[in-house]
Amino acid sequence: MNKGLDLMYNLLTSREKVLFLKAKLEDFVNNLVYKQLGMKTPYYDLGKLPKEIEIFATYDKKNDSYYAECPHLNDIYTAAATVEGLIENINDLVYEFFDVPRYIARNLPQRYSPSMDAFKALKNSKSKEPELNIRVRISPQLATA
Amino acid sequence: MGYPTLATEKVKLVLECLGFYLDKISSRDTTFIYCYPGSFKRILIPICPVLSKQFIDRVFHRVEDFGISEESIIKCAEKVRKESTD
Repeated sequence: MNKGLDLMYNLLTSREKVLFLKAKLEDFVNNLVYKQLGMKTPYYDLGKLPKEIEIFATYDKKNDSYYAECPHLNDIYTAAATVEGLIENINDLVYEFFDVPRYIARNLPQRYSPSMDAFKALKNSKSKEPELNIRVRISPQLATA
Repeated sequence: MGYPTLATEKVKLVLECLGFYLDKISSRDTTFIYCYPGSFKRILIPICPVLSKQFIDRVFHRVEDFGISEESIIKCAEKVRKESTD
């Protein structure tokens, strides 16, 4: 298991570990069926996903942590220790929000990828404010299931 | 007053103390998705060792939307904090 998954697994109760292992089993079966046996992958119309999303991001200097939320998608808000982690979380939550099947979501590249410049400026700002905010629009990159 | 800043595992414990349960783990394994009995609304907890103050506030304000008072949330947070230091 990678470090993030390891951390996640350690946080779970035994009932939740069953849930987690069930998801991992589903991944294993999906890989076997779709990748190894070459069966047709489930269909999902990626056109359902938004053309672009707007995120409101904050850098918390004290905790060295990022926070982001999509003002137009109420169920999407997340936090991460790095910008890369934050963007990965946002992509994952957009797929969850639009019910993209697990196998497709796991095999899509990061669809929404912002320019990193705004985030670098956010972190490197000399401002004395404990929290710094930016608002960025993220357009989807070309991605296929 | 405001909510205390807690680590991921503590926020998870506070939610459980308030009656939420883990419904699923996001497709790309980045987020715990919590549900509340009888509600379709969800609470999202990312797998991040340190959660920002703003995130914690957002989560707990969202918990208030389930009809749970600020007092109950703080009480649970204090209980979790106390149990972890004992």
